[in-house]
Amino acid sequence: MDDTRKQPRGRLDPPWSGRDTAVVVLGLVLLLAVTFPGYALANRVDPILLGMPFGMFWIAVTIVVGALVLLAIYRRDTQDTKGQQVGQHRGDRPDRKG
Amino acid sequence: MSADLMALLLMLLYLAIALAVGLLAGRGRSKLSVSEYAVAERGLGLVVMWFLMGGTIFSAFAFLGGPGWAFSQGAAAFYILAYVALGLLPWYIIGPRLARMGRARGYLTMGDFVRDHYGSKPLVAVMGVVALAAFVQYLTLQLKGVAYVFNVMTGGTVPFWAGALLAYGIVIVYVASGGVRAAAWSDVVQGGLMLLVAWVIGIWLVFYLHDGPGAMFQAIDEAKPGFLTIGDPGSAMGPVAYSTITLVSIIGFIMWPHLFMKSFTTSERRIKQVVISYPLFALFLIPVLFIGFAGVMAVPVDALDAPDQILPHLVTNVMPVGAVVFGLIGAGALAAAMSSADAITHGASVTLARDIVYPYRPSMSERAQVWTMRGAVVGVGAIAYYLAVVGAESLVDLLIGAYGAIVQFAPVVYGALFLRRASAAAALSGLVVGVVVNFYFQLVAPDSKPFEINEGILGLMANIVVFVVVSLVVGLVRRGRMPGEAARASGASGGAGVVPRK
Repeated sequence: MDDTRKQPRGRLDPPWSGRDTAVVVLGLVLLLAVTFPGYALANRVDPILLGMPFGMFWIAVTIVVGALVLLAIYRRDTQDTKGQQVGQHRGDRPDRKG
Repeated sequence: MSADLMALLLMLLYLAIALAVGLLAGRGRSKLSVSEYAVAERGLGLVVMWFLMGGTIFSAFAFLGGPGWAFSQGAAAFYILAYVALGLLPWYIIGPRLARMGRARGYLTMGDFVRDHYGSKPLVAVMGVVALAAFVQYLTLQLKGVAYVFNVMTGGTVPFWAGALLAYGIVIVYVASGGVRAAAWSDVVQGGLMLLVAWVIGIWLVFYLHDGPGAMFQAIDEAKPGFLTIGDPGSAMGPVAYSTITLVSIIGFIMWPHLFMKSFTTSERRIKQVVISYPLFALFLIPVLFIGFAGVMAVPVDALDAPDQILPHLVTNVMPVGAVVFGLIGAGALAAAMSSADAITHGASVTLARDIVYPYRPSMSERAQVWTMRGAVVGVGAIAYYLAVVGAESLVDLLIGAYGAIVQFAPVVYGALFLRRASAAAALSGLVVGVVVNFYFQLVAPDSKPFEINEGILGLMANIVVFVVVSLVVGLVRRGRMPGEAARASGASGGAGVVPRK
């Protein structure tokens, strides 16, 4: 299996895209929501919503919203790559193919 | 028929089904292919992948430790939801790339990937040994959970050693026989059973002991102010400790070698789909935490030897359940522990054979590798069994301890993917310093942690500093002395150096 192209270390395949940045930003926002200092906004018991203390409810909502946003990113991801050849992503420069 | 006997029969029935599914899953597949044993020929589907990744979460930790945390630590238990929801997110970016590289270059394990990128056998061996230690700890935890459940739910009929032997013996048989495919398919059955049982008891308990969850939390808040928040008087944890335990769990999640190597078991698209659907598991955990919260008002803390016993205590002493439900709960708890134990055992066996033995004996045939993996299943299993039956420590502490060491792999992995200058010397020295710092603050001086920062994060900070400094120094030395040499070396072995950007 070693006969396939050797890709220099540190060069991403596929290269870093705007989608990847979006996922990183999403992750940081979600992280801020469930840890301090961001979680301070939700760190209380009242109001109790859907049977959960507000902090727990907040985390549950964060989880759902995060998954939906990621789904939207994935949708655009697959739309973009549809009709393009495998390995050809936006921003891919021709000389990147070994 | 007594509830104890019924429970025993249902648990045995469940064990028989788990064994049958595990053995059937590997039927018709090659028994001598490393790729089949380790990564199921890179062809697992979405549902199977989802349960395989989830089985690790729904462990004895979730079933016993989760309610235990809610019961004893209150709002600090929310961190479990947060890290399960976010832990897999980095995989959305690195997983597909690993899958692609893995297919092109034949990676089966985290060690294969790291060795190829850093060209260093010692680095991979050190990681393998740390991983094995963490695996054994983790397995010991599952085995204790299994044995405990068996013992309590059968009214003491099945002794501690026999319960662990029976349930784990079955795991060993199907993992050794069918590899990751057997672990994956049995996880589908085990995961389904476990989710069902967790929801039924969670919701039932809340309505039996209180008038629903809202009333329950209201009552807890009135009786124990601060218990349901972080960092208030009466809270179990401060904001820094809470935030850093969440963070260390999220970063450490995909660094577990048995989860990391699942990057090589499926396609790029499947990996993304698993990451998107994975947070559902976190929502499924909510009723599990309810179980622990339901016990807060009903059970005095000193009624238990350890908080982890809250669920078995509630269903045996507080909740008036029929014999069949009682047996199902027992089977669900067994399923929880076994679905983690199979993936861990498999991961440990592949890591030992492929990352520790194989690099030093590259002439090993494929057949010999597969049989080494099978032997390792039994060997690792025997060690964990011994520790579980003889040794003792609280369930959750064990898992968090292992997590602290595993998270130290993060700079090595992300360095290989994203930093052109990362060198083997830097990765190895960072890793060693990180593990030592973590160990010190976890076991030697747990009360001296600055600002209550989690020991895993302290280790990680030291790790990253060492990693970066050594990388820069190595880079300068190489470039300064022999620029031509360095450029060539970096192309060939991936050492720190200058890859000209085209």
